[in-house]
Formats: sequence, C-alpha cells, structure tokens
Amino acid sequence: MGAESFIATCRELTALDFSSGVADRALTLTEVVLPDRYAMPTHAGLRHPSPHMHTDGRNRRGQWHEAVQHLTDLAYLTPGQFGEWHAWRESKTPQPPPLLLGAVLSAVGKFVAEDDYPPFRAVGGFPSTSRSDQLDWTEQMLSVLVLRAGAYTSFDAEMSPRADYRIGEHSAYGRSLAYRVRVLFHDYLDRKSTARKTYFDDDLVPYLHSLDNSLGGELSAVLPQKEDRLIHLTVQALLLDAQLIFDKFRETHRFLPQSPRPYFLVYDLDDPAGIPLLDDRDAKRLERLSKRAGRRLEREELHQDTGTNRLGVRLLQIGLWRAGVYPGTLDGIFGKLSHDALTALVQQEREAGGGLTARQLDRVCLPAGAEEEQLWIVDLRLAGILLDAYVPPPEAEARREEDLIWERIRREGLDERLDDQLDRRRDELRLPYGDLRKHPHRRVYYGIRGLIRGAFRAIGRVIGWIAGAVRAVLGAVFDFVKAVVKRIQEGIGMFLEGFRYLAHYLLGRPFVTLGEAVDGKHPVLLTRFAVDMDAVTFLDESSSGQDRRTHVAYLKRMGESVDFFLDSVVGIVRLVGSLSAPVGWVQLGVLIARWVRDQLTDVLFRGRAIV
Amino acid sequence: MADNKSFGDFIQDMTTLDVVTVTGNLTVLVKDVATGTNGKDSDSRPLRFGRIMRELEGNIMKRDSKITALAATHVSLDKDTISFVKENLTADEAIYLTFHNDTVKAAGIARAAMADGISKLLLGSKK
Repeated sequence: MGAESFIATCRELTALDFSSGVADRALTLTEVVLPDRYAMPTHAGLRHPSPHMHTDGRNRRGQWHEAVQHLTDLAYLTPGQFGEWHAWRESKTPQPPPLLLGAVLSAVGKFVAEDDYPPFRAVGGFPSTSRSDQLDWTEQMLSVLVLRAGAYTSFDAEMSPRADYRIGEHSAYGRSLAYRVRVLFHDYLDRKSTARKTYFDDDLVPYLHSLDNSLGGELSAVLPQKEDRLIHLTVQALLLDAQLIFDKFRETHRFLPQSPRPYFLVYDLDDPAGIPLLDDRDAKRLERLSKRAGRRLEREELHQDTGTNRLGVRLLQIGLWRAGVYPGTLDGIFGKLSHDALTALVQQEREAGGGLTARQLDRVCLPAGAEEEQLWIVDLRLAGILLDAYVPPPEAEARREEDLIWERIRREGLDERLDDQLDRRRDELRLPYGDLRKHPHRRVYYGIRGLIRGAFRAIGRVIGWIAGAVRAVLGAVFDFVKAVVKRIQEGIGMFLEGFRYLAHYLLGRPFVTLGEAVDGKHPVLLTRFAVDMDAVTFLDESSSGQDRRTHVAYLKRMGESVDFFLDSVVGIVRLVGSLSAPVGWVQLGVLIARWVRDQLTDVLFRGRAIV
Repeated sequence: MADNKSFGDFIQDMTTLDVVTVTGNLTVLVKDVATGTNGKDSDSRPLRFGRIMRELEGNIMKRDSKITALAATHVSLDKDTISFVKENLTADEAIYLTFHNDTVKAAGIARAAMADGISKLLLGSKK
C-alpha cells in the first residue's frame, strides 16, 4: 500500500465510513505499513510491555535518544547515565538495562512534575505506580515530551521569559537557566569535573554579571543583586536566545556586519584539515593574505581573548553547531572539530553563493604567517555574517522555506529517490559525532527552524545528495536529513499513538490485556467498544484479581487521555484526507509533523505554550 | 464494524449503551512479546489482537462453548439503567461484578469519546 492508499483511507474515515473494509485497511496501514515505512513502531494492541526500543524502530530510538539528551542537559540524568545510554545504543540490545531504564523513567517523572505544560496533565499525569505503566506513559507522550524538553534546552528562543520565575525555584525552567549558564561558562574538559548546578540559584547570579560585562554592561541596572528573587525579563530573554547574545557581543566589540573593523580570534591547531586545493593564482593570494595576517599577529593588532569563558568562541561554536557543521562540544575550545566546521561552512557558502564575496570568504579563516607556527586566525566579523544566514527564521518563514525545499525536490523529480537515500545513507550522519561513549559532551542540534534554514541555505547541496552526486555530509545535508527525521519522529510518533484511540473507540478494536502467565499461557481479558455503543467484555476464568485490576486500569488510563489523543489523530486524519496532490511518504510525514507542532504550540488551546 | 453511516445514524445509535460481561476460557501462548518486531502477524512475532479475536470467535462458535454471560447493563439516554446478573453466582463469579461495573463506567467514557471523535471527524475541531 502506498501513500495514496493512506490518503484515500483518511478521506473515507473523514466521511464516517467505518465499514469493515475501510477499518481493516486503516488498521493495516497504521500497524504494518506506517511503522515499517517510517521505522516508528506502534503498540501491538496489547496491554503488555511494548517493544518500542527495538532496533527495527530506529526513528523511535532516535526520539528516545533526543529525550535522554535533553533530560541530561536539564540535569535530570547525570552525564554518566548519558554515557551508559550511548553504550546501550551501541550494544544494539532491545531494551536498556533495567537500572538505566528506571533512571530514565524517573527522570521523565521528575521533569513532568516540575513542568507546567498542560498536555502532561491532560493525559492523567505521570503514573507513580509500576515501571511498566511509566514506560507506557512515556511511550505515549514521547513526541510531546521531546518537543517540550527540547524547548528548554534550545538556544533558538523557543521559549518565552517568565515573569513569575523566582531564583532558586525547583522547576524545569530553573534547570533550563542553569543549563544555559553551564553552556556559556562551564567547561567540563578543562575542569575535569562533571559537577553541576541542578537549578539556577544564588550561586549562579554572578555569572549573569560576568555575562553582562562581556556584553558591555548595559544590563547592569536590571541584573539581580544579592537576595533578589527576580530575573528581569530582558536578562532571561538573553539567556534563551544565543543570537541575542551574539548580537550584543558584536555590538560591544564593534564588529557588527556593517562595521569596517574586523575582530579576530586566534588559535593553534596541530592537525588542521587545511584549505581545499587551489589553483596557482589563488594559492599565491592565500599566501599573501596569510603573511599579512601573520604580520598583524606579530604587531598584536589581533584580539586573542574573549573573556575567561571564551565567550566569543562559544558563540561561534553555537552558530556552527546550529548551521549543521559542528558536531563537537560547546566548550569554548577551538580545536580541530571547530576548525573543520568553519572551513566546511566556508566551502558550503562558496557553493551556495549570495552571502560574502569569494575574496571575503578567503579571509574568514586563515593560517597566520609561517606554517610551522600552526596559528590560525578567524575573522569573527566575517564568520558572523556567514552565520547570520543560518539563524533560525520565524515559524512562518521556516514553513515557507520548507515548502520551497519540497518544491525543488519535486521539480527535480527526486521524491522517490529521497525515500531511498534516507533509507540507505542515514547512518552516514552518525559518523561526524564519532564514538559518543568517548565524547559524552557532544550534542546533537535539534532546532527544527535552524535545521530547515540550514538545508534551505544550500539547497543545491541537498539536491546533489539526494541525487547521489554529493558525498559531503556536514552542513546542509546534515540539516536536511535531521529536519526530515525529526519531523517524522514527531508527526508519525504522535499519529501512531493517537490512532490507537481512534481504533479502540471508533473502529471496534478491542482493548486486550494479557494476564500473568500460568504454565506459559496468559489469560485473556478484552473489552470491545463498538460504534453502535455495545460494549462487550470477555474475561478468561483463570484471570486473577490483579489481572482484572490491570485491565480496568488500562481502560481507565486510555479513558483519561482519549480527549487529547483523539484531538490529535482526528486532526491529522482530516489533514491527510484533504490532500489532493500526490505526496510521497516522507513529505507526508513532514506535513503531519507540522500539524502536530502547531497543535502542541497553540497558545489559545494549551495555555502556556512553548513559543 | 458499522456500515457506512450518517452523523444522524450515529447519534441515534448512541441513545443507548449496552455493556455485557462474559466469562469463558481463552488463554494464549505468547512467544517473544517483549522483543519481537512490530507489524508482522506471524507465529514468531508478537501476538496481535487479530489472532486473539479469531481464537475467541472460534471458541464462541464451538457447539460445546463454555462462554457464559455474567452480567449485562443497559443504559438509555435518560440514564434509566437496567442490569442483568446471572442467577446463583458462585463466589468466584461474584467478584467479577465489580469489574463489570467498572467497565460500565469505561463504556460511558467511550461513548463520549466516540461522539466527540465522530463530530470532529465530520465537522473538524473547534479549536
């Protein structure tokens, strides 16, 4: 069955056709075709531990990974536990070790308890009872959980400042602020320590003053003093948006894009990837530029320090990370990964065009003076102009750019090829991160608007990758694939969870509980609700009191969350049923994900929303 | 499954609620539920509800079927409720009644969910 069959089935459901043929097709699509097509498993229809983390569901595993990364950054999990998670992923075993899974589920429970996001309450809250119930809840809410936790760790202004926040409060937002200070100031590698503050508290207030100092001291009048409980909204906004910080940094050091003054960072490097092969003329020009940079370095005209926390380097790293070229740690250390990221971005910009001129691009990153000195100079003014093109656009703009990406893919006749390439070559994207067990502080960038912007900026490279002509992964391709995968995880994950409700409540699919096995055989308990309102429950006579309680609890919990999930799935069914033009599976996943994100960020419906 | 119906037909259907609890014998052997692959309904894959339903329907159709109706509740729109309970319940059967009553409550939620889902499918979400 193809995507067109899925669209036709949704159209029939929208017309209230629940006949057996339509229902069977709908169930086959959501339980067989979609899980296989999108590598997103669905519940098998039983109240029993689900196999969602199985390797066949790699998108689900990817979504779990994102959740664990965010929970680690928010200090619900320790870096050591994150390392164990990496080790488990590498082991390819179906489930994490029980202790680790228990820690992750506890982390989810704490996060949900500390967050005031209404959808978490709309599904009955996180179960305090068995691990099995907690796992089920987390599986159901994974898309929502990831979206929400992702906003707390985003530097893309995904979250609004909070007037009601108080310093020292134990909330997810308080953890989010502590995380931001950690990224801007702390350095695990140098300090050889993983100790960290869980919540933003009085001890972290001096860092706000330090940050303000690096940004020209404009905010000193509104910064919290000793024993103050409030953080001014302007200061909060700064912490939530790396671009705001970078803009202030540029303004303070007077190297704004229109400024004639350069601003240099200097670093040494033992083993650079170097500069791509050039023809003689360009090589001579590069040599001249390099010598000139070396002379300026000798005359100490260059800024070599951006504060004790190397804020300039960190901001550059965040920009490179967001542009899809930097898979390293945000630690203020400009090493080989940072260097390679910058040169990769310059190379991508040479192909994309429209930003800096070729001569300006030559000057973004240069070896300084004689080769043996191994010093490199970054013109942060020029690098900043490059990175400005990759700043996450507003939602509407991101949507327009995403549409244009798909239009271009269609125009090039690459729709089907894309499905194939994503299937075959996705693992290439893991390579830049290296062995994450050895580099537990590296982070995947998940900001959807930034990913779309990165892909759009160098769409030619994306098209080349789909066609098989481009091998380079870092940059636009990285952004594009991650954006598509994230969309699928979010949209299809939510749809499959929601469809369980539609199937149970409208298509007559029974709720089935398998009781505790006796001699290897499980007693069956099932309840079936039909659209004509007959409800039939069957109980195997050997079922125990506990089995019956489990089944009732299953019915109760599904009943508690039915409104939330039916809302979602009905909306998606209507959206898909309304499509008229042929749409491939991947693009379909993207359209569904957009709808899901819109719903979860809807201020009017959800109260305090993400944006 | 219901045949293709109009919204009015569904509304008509929803004026009553019938909940029946039956007991009998149905156990299943589950192979590899925890580690199986999704989406494939074969013996080496996790058990799926389709197989259970087939097996249950097979049992009901048997001449010597031991499926027993234990309790039934009929609720009409005006909340008049009629309940049937099997006579001479054994002590074991009596404890199922609580379960039956819980299922009646769940069915009430299901009815609301169905009405909501159908109206949203037809008319769209009001949000």
